[in-house]
Amino acid sequence: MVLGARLRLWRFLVASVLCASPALAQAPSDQPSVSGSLASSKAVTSPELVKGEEPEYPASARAQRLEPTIVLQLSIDEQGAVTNVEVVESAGPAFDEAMIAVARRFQFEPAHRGEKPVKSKVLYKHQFQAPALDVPPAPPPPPKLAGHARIAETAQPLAGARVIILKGDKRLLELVTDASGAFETSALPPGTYAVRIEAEGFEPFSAHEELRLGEETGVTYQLVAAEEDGVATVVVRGVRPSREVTRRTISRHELSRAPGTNGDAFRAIQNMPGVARTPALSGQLVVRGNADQSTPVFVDGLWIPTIYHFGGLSSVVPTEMLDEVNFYPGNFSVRYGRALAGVVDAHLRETRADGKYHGMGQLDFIDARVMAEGPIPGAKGWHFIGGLRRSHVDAWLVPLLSGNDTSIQAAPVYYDYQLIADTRPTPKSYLRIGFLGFDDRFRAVDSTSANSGTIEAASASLGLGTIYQVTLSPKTSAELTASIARSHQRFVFGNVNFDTVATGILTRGELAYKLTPRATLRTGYDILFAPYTSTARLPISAGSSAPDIGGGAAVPSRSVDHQGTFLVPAVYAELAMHPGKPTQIVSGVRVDYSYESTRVDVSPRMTARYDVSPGPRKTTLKAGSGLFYQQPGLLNVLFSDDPKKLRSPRSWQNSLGVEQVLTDHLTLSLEGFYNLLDDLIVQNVNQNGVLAYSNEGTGRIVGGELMLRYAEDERFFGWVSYTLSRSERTNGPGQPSELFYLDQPQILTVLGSVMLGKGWELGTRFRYVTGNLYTPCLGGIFSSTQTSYVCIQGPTNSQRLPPFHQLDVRIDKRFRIGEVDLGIYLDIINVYNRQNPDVMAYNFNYTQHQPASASFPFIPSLGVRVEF
Amino acid sequence: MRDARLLPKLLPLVFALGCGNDFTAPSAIGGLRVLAVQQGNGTIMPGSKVKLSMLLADNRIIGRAEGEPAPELNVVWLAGCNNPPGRQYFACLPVLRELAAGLGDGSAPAGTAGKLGTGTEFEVSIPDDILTTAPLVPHDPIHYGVSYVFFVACAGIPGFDPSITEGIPVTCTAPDGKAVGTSGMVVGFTTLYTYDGAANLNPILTALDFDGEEMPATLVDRPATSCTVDEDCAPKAGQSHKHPRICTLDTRTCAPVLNACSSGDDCPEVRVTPRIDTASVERYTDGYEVIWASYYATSGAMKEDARLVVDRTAGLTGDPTTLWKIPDKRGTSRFWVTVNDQRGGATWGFFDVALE
Repeated sequence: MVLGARLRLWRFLVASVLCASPALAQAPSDQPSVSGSLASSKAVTSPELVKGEEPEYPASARAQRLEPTIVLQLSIDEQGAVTNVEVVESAGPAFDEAMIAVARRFQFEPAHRGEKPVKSKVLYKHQFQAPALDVPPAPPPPPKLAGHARIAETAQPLAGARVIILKGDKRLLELVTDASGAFETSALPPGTYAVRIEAEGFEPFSAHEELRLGEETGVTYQLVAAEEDGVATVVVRGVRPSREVTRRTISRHELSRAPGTNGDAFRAIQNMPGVARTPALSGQLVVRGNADQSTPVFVDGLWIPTIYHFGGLSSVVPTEMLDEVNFYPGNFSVRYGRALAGVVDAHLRETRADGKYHGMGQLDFIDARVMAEGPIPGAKGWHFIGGLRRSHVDAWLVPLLSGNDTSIQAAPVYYDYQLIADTRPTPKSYLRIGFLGFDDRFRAVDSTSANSGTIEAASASLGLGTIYQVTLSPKTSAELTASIARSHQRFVFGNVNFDTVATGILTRGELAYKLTPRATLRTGYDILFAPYTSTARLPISAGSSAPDIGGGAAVPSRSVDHQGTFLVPAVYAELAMHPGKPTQIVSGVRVDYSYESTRVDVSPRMTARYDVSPGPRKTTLKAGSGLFYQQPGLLNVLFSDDPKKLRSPRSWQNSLGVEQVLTDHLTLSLEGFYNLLDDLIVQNVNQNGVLAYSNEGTGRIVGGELMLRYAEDERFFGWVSYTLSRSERTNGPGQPSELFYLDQPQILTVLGSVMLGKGWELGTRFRYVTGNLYTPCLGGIFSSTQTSYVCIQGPTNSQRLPPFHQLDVRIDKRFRIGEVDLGIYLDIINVYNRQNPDVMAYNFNYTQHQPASASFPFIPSLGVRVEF
Repeated sequence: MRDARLLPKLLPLVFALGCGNDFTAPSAIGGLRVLAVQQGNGTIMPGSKVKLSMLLADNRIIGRAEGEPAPELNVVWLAGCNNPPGRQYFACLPVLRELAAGLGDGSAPAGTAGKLGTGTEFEVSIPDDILTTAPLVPHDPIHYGVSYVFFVACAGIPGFDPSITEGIPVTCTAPDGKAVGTSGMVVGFTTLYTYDGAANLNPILTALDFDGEEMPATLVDRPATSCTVDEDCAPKAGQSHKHPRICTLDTRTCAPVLNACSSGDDCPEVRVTPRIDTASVERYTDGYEVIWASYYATSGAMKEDARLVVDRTAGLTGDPTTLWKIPDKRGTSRFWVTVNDQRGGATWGFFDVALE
């Protein structure tokens, strides 16, 4: 039956979920956009339903005379056909089935961007009506148009916006949104109208709505701030204003489907340009030739000191709780600090507010996890999401390590658990309170070599955090986060011991104020206060480039037992300006103070973007320069003879690049970088003849990155990333410049995942990385106190191991059984079982050598996932 | 890789690299090796004289015929490096270079404060000011001075080569004028710690067991009972030996007799166990002094080349036995076990096994 007067439905044409593929397609770009040609007021027109049927009222529900409401998300292609139907809000199995059946046959006039039809997604709401009884029908009510205006970036209500309703060129009515962004009218006769939304500081938005007698048309319009290059950007929630030269965003689907990562979000970052390969199980993030631990990870703005579980098998925040992960390889905003290289900024997703309970369970080779989500009973407006995960690595690693001479005293296991509740206390604010924790433990006593002994690794953290976002006015918004966490890190390996307990309080706040439609000022603070107790015993080590002195028990140890406090407050201010439509300049300064060293670090930074050729295939030039500091690490402080003498290592980062939109889905990004490092902390013999930490190290990193990315659509996502770089260090005045031990000149990643239909998805990843550097041993000298030979070193980092290359494959199959989604996947790591060398191994007296591998052999990981 | 922050990352690497390789095992004595150096009784005081004793292993002398002359073997000591910058041995190289120049006439060159010596024993003098000239280093649990004594063990004639600028500028030349390779030359050093007021004792090895039986082993302070004929090795009345024993030709000590095995991986394994006086285990305020045992043999393969005896955290680790796989090679096989602690303490023992 063609839709007619009897059909009652509320239609939510939500511009924000228009696929508008470039918006998603340009995830690597800083400014998701539809096209430059839409930068003016034309914006995006929504799809129009032109043909459809009313669903049959299920016979099974006739007796109860239920009138439930269903909300669907419809994917519409450029021809207006419905390509996918997802139930957002269920009306019950029978009603859902009836509605889905007809919705698949709907025909739309497709959405347009300018003149061009584009793919789109709409929310479609329908209320079932019980069949009429044998009474005279009441006269139908007049048509009603009701809706909300929201800010696209934050989904927060937009108050004071003008809603102008036109018939042709004639202005019929003007409404103003209330404090919750809502508006409605029943004063219009049936017909089709143009609706235009205007608000100061936002790009206007237009749509056409058809009002029918007896129907209420519900809409939600999301407006984009004018600073976004003035482009009427169709955005998804979570997309943030551009404040960096390069932001690489990985969507939730890409995070969970990247081959070789076992669906782990943070391991997926290792596929981005500029990210070096680290040995398997090391769980480090090495970015643009910098040292590890130079790229901190933030979750909703809060620093997570340990993001990986034991050995880097999995990250401590489950992918299912993340909305997206942004990776900034350099030249990031002053919002972030205490980092010499890049930043990873992950965002937890909002809980689903559909009034229903959801659950998820997953089991694979590494771990098992469960998750639940839904409204909190008795707490109106509050929703929760909670999860628990436990590894079962112990099931196979314990038998592997168990032997006559190794006593496994605690299995290598990890847990993590999360409980998050959120609400919107007012239409203009959002509040989330989260409880996150993890616990990793392993303990064994190995006596099968001279340098063995107790092996113990324990890492645990338990924290409570909250985030509060509020729109104070159309020009002003604020965000406040605070957390308190207690963490325990313990590592024992023979004679080496490190044990630290810290209670960290971290709070951040940011206030954004729109000075003019083309200038926004952001100011904020960032304070870390962490009292700690630490004991450590470490063998003395040689200077950074000094010959090997051997290791193990027979090298004298230094030890500390120290109580201290890390107090590192920071403030920042940043001005984002759009002097002209194609230009964006973000400049800011950050001031960090270190209580330990009583030093102040001032970090001015600036980034700029310029659209050389606007339009659907726009070309953007981008550049950035700035100073970045990272405070000395805990061990530097503990073992320094005077921590106050240690300055923060500094990096002067410079980058220049270009982005080219090639097609609706394909974007090419090229970027060069040149970083100068100084005040690096190294160990050298001081004037007293003592090995001591000093800031005598310097460095230079130069390189380029290429990324060709096909943004995710219904069929495919993937990218090719390539990095060419060189990283050098000098360990003191007058000393030669040497290659940094993590220098990897060439890194190539080719990754793609294709949806084959019928729930099948096939992904593959190939990586090629230049071999690791090593310092050759020219021979050995026997140390009788160690009963072993010590390497007589050749030139530092002068040799390379054979290159690394590896192919990973992932196969997913999804089933839909009623309300339940069932997924099975097989993640095969190192398909052709390449023995990738990690180090050069030598025999006892350094007369023989051969490459040795610590990387994964061929590992098939089978997993199953159930979700409802 | 020396940054302490990297240490936790080495843990997975330790596991991963535990896999096999094709290297010669350190326990396999295939030539001339220095196995240990004992530093007097262990405790070193400022101004004291310390007797250094070297344990050498040389498979050329094992099982040689009676009356056969001993092969060429020379040991040279070079002392005179105290409290080098950073306490590191390579900071001694300038001093060592000066000393090595005197290898030709066997005495330290004029003007150098060092001392040269020869033979497997050498006496070194610790300076009176070894502690006062040692820099005070933050985070040292105890103040101490460091002395390095270098040595060269050479199956030929040791010499000085000024053209060697990387490493130790010494050479070893065979009587025929050819350079002796690494199988006949060992360059090394021993580190002497002078602790401020702290005792530092050698670990004590009381016996060596082979296949569960105490061997007539030669220990540092207790030579094995000598024999002249096989009957001297017969069990005493009321005793029995798991393996019959014979009197070896070169050392004239009793050795158990086992059958050589040609079954490769299926050959039986025999337990080799050092017995250590647990009273010699020294404690710190935060744990134990680490002690480990190293095993060597001229034939056969050890399951572990070394075993930890005392863990820094857990103390005694249990039975420090290793397993020796019986080889196909007939003749005398010598076993050495050295026991060391983490402050330079050392002791050892050795015995022979006859394979028929």
